[in-house]
Amino acid sequence: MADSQLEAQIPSLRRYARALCGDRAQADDLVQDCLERALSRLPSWRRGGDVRPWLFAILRHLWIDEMRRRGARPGLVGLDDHADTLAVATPPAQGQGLALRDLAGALAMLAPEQRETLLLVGLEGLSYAQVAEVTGVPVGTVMSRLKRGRDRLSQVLHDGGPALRRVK
Amino acid sequence: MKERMGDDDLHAYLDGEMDDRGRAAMESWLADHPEDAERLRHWQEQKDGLHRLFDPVMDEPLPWALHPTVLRAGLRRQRGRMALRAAAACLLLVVGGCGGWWLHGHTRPMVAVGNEALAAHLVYVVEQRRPVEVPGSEREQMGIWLSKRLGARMDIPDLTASGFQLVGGRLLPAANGAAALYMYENAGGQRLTLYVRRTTEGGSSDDLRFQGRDGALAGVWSQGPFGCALSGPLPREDLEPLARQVWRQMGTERQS
Repeated sequence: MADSQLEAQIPSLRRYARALCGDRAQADDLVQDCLERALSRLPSWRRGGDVRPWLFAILRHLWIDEMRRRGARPGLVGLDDHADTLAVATPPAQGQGLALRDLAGALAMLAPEQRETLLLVGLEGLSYAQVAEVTGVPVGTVMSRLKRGRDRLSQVLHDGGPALRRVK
Repeated sequence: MKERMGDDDLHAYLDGEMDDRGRAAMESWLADHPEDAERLRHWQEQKDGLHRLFDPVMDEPLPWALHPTVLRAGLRRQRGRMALRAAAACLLLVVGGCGGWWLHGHTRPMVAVGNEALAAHLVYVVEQRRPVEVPGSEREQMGIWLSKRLGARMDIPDLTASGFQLVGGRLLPAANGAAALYMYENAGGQRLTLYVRRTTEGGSSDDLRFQGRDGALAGVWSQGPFGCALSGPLPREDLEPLARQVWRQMGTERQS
């Protein structure tokens, strides 16, 4: 039942966590914490509906806590405006297609809230409404983060220009 | 009828957020606006790239810490709090077949035995040069020595039939005195450790319980004066028969 539904999501949670924080051990720690918390809260879930937004929201809170603890970033909220001033060190892909290494590099340089939005939509296939539920912002904000994130990736990966230059 | 399509529409189209009518309108728009089609293609490439980068994670074998058995064991470790107790009870219903043994009176001290056993396991299995203090060739003397130090007779189990040879053993400090740690190894280099120490409560477990840490799983039980745990890098289905074998060999306490 709910328990096996939860188990079925473990591979997907691992994929998302790995993409989110890049580091394998850290990602699996995050997933472990997430599942333990989810198991302990299982009785409070039982609302029917999709288990995925609920799980991703738990994982997200743990990730934010972890980032705060590490002092890596002051927080997730309100960084949109500053994200564009961060320099991107990854050189653009040369030649044909899209180099995966460059994509990974460009992804790591995104502001956290852009990265999580891009991954929840593009990798995990959540709907905009579900991402809004997970991240606790209106759908319009989800869409603007998605646009900014994709534009930045495009700048780095396709245009070959410095990511600082924003095309308005 | 041609609608004007903005960035929001392009993204919504890409992410499957549009209805049939919207999709049709977008396709017609894209036919006339190659620059938008090109941007859309880039975004689609990003999506594909994300999958190529991270989908392989889903095929990786699950680390033991994420194995459902281990997770539930981790949950039980924290079960002092009422909320978690309720969750455990609920899980019990969900999982089924576990019979309620984890609420047994012996559980809490046995968790300590399991924690110590896993800690000792993780420290000593990686040792190449000095994994043990006394080699397995001195089995008899080692048995006498460690029985004396633990204050009760203890037979050293033989797992040869399952492919595991006794590497040897060592004496360890434990919370309430001394503990014995025996190490076994198979031809594939997999190492098991058996951790034994006195418990103050005595008595025998009804069944094995499992807990895990950092890729190792321990089957834990109590038996007469001892708390025992067999730990190894094995899934539960492989560890369990070995632990039962050890339990049987260690004495006559087991009634089943």
